[in-house]
Amino acid sequence: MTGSAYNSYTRIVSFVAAALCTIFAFGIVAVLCLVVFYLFGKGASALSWQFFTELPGTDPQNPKGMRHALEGTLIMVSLAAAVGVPLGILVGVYLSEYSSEKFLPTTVRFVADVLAGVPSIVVGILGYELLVVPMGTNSGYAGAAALAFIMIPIVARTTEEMLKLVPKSYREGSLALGATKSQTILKVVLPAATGSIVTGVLLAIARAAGETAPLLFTALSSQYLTRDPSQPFPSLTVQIYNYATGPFQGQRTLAWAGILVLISLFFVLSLAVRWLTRRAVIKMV
Amino acid sequence: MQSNILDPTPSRMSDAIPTRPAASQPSADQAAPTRRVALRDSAKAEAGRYRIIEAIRSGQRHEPAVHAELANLTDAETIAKIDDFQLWYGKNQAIHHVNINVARGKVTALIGPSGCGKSTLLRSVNRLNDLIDGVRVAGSITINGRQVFGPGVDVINLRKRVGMVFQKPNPFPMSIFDNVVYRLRIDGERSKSTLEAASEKALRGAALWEEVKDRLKDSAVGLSGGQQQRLCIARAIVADPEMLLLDEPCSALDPIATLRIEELIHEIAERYTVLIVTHNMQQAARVSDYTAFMYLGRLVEFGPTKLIFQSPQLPETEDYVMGRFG
Repeated sequence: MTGSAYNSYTRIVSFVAAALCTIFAFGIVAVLCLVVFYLFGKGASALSWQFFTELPGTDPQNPKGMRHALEGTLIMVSLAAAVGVPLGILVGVYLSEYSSEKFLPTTVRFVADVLAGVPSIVVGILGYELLVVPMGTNSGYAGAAALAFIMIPIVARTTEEMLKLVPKSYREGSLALGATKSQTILKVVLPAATGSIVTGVLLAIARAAGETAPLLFTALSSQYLTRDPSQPFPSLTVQIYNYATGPFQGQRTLAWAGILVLISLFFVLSLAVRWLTRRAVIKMV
Repeated sequence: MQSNILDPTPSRMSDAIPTRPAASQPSADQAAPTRRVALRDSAKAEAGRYRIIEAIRSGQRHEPAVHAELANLTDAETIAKIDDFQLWYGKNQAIHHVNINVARGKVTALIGPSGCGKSTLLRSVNRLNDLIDGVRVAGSITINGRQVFGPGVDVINLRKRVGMVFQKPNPFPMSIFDNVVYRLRIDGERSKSTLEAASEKALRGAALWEEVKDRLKDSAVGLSGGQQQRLCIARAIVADPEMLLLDEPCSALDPIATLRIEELIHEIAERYTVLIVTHNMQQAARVSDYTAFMYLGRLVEFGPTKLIFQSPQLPETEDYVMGRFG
């Protein structure tokens, strides 16, 4: 093969490869756009102010709104975050800063990874067996516990990874000034990683807010505006599930609106994550 | 030949035989000691010229050459006493039977080729080596008569008494002000006026006040490398430590920033005792009062900097500071 022939050959291969990459990239974006447009088409018409302010009401054929479900998700995710985020951060700090021994941290890390990958229905069944059955009723607390269980490994592992990115020189600098290890972690290491940890927390919240399966077994659902988490508790996802599989057109339309709201929530959270990540990276350098 | 010792242009750091005339090389800071090859040169030197180095290499005990001025320091003149100190990383012994008296209110420099244990020794003085697994020590270090190692020693308190500045500037990712007063805040100081007064004093002490007084609330990460290093010095002196450890404080800085830090070391030395590790022989000559030459974890020669650089007792020291060996 002559030099020029070889050259044209590589050029063709390179062109084809680049073309394929571009086509597939566009293909994926196209599918995504399709989903979003479809959602908008179906959901936007059903989405009205009523959706946020009204309860389903008495007519099952034409439910008015999902205010109870929105509030329910908000309350349960907040409860879950109140428990799961501090616990997850503590585990992450332990894994990153205090794991001088070998066995326990490795085990904890492994368990966290397995938990992060466990199908969420398993978490639901676990919550049902451990909380709902002993308590004798489905409840918002059980739902929040299941969501917290999903959040903890995510928060723990992100926190660990982010703390490991904090330069060792910060820790040395602080210790050399006579700070204790806990002072160093609280005053230098954690603040330096705050942006990235918040990112992990937001990801975990997004994940929890979008879960359905664990809530089906634990919180179940409710048609009423309730703020008592010891009772069966409404949530956006379960409400969507119920309405989407419901027999009436009005319910299905409202389910589309719910999906649109859920997707928008993810969209906002991802934007926040991206923005925070960028800032966090700048801060680290 | 010895007249150019204090000249900023160093002699060439090569494995030249001692008789070859030294060629000049432009940058003092970049006279990378890493390029110098240990062990090869002595074969080329006259047989028996490196008596002590030979002894060290063959693992025998040797008597370091300690100049009388330092050997006879009184206790009052000594701030830190490193006494028969040894240190192991796991099974590797990094420091062997080192004795160094750090004179109060003076600058003592530790020089020697890479891996000679000078940084390890420095980090032993504030026990920063504790962070590494498997470190073991023997012998003793005392600061103002108080033991550094041993049962019942409060390491946190020790580190509060001994400031340290690192090779690479490491300001915390917080404001300039928060960096400077960090040391006071960990002691629970909350009074704003106290903190402000202390930060101004420390920043003035580190010759940084004029440059940052209008932006104390700005992030310290935005400062230049030289400013960051001076900030680290301010942070280290804010609570008047008994002693200041500098671990190659200029190796990450450009020549002008280096010059400023060196001037600063002179000023600081009037108030604090300084123990400095440096790779740069010219820097040791410029900033220090006493110089200790270390090799493979042992002390080789220790004396007044002027004598170490102009008429050392040992031929190996002379060749090392001239850049002919190491």
